[in-house]
Amino acid sequence: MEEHSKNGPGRELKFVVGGEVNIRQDPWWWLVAIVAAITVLLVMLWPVPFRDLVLFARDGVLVTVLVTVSSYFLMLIVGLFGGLGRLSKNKLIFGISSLYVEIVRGIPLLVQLIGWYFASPLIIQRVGLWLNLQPLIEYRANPIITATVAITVCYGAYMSEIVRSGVQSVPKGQMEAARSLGMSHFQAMRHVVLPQAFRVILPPMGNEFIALLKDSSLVSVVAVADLTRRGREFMAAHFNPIETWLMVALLYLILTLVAARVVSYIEKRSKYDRY
Amino acid sequence: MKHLLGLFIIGVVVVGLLLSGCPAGPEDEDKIRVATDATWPPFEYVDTTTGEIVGFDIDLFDAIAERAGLEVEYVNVEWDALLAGMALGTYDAAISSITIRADRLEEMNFSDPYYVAGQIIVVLTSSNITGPEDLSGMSVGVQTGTTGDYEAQDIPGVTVVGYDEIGLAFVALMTAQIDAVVCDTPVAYGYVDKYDTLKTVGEVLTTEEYGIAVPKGKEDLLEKINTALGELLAEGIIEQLTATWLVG
Repeated sequence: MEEHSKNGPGRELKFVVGGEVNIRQDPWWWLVAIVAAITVLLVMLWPVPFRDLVLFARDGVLVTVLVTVSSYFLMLIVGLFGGLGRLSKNKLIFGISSLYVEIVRGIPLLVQLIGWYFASPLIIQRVGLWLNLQPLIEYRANPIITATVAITVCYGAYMSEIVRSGVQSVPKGQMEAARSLGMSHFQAMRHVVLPQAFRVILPPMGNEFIALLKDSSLVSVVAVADLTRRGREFMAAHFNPIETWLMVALLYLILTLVAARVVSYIEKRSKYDRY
Repeated sequence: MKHLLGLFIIGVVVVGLLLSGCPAGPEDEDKIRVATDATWPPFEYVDTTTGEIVGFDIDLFDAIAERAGLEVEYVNVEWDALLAGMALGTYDAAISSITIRADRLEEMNFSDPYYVAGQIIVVLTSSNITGPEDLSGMSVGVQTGTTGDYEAQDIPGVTVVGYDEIGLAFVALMTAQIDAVVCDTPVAYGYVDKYDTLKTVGEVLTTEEYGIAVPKGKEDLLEKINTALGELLAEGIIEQLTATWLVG
């Protein structure tokens, strides 16, 4: 059953063809509202420690969001190239991409983060000594950038696989038809195949963003003052682990729930005649 | 979705701008970077109203820096990353209630000792444990990689449960998931003061000395620190700091 808006094309986008719920009434927004209400209630009823924690941790929240968003965009680029590399007929490109994906997927993110944080300055300094380049010898790692790079490299491998599966899900007929119309391989990818692949990978892309948001808490181990680290500092200064972690969990939950709603909205906007 | 590519490019540009705004380390080459794990009150912790790192160790190092003519920038690093960083020379010095130990001395240098502390056992007030002898067959929580960890492992018959952060060990104790916690006296007293379900038992288990860690290869900095520290110790700085930070 399809619901068509009676008021013309301007309002049509708000209804999903296929007869589902109007986006404005998406019931999951209620969950966001409830969690936000609980948080506000805790802050108002018990300002010590909850309001103090929220005020203290607000720069941590910004750092978490910064690291997540930065890694995400960079990861998309890495994933796109990695995914296309995995589909390549060129043996060298295929080999390099596959090696990258296999190795990075085989090492836990925490281990990679620690590796980047400690090993990369050493390596850069050694290279600097070898090439005698002063800026490299005196290289001082910025923890936020190092952590972002580490997360990008790690999640880029997973994104490569997602991109590859998206492209492979597009029927071969599309590529054949595009080529027979005279497009080059690149043009066919860019105008026909990738846009269709994009719709398929939208749900996993959203999933990766939410997973990334939570995994960003690991950067607290490598000297980045994110929300988790701020929680630890607060807990250590006030000796109240349970209240601190409750509020930190609520703050993360708000971030992930809002992100999930945005992802859900984007998915609905890009659907056409599939499920 | 027509403008997706445009949005994407904007996203990458924004990311680039945001990341380039991050400072790349100390702005001033003459500043020394001092690492501390500011989750160990009252020696080093973050004042949550001002966001500044404060504590006994911080005041001590500020005094040393003033005496030795050094400019200091404190870096708040997690304990394991701090010790690893000192072994690699990532920071110029570290002051973080670090006990001077033979295995640590192989990886880094230490200043002269500046404080004597000990490990102590903390249990629930309802517990019958009165000392390390009663711990046989029990589980003891510690912060991994600290002297509390090493001490607990030496007590016979004990199952040591390691946590990243001493606060988590205390939560486990308060919910009776473990039988005791072993940690440094100042931190233990802090928790016992705050929660009446906890108490310390037995004598102080060890005597250990805190030192300022300096990586190998920075011996001239170590000398400056030791000279200043020696002068300050003779002037009674430890008594002053104890009165400010540890009494009560």
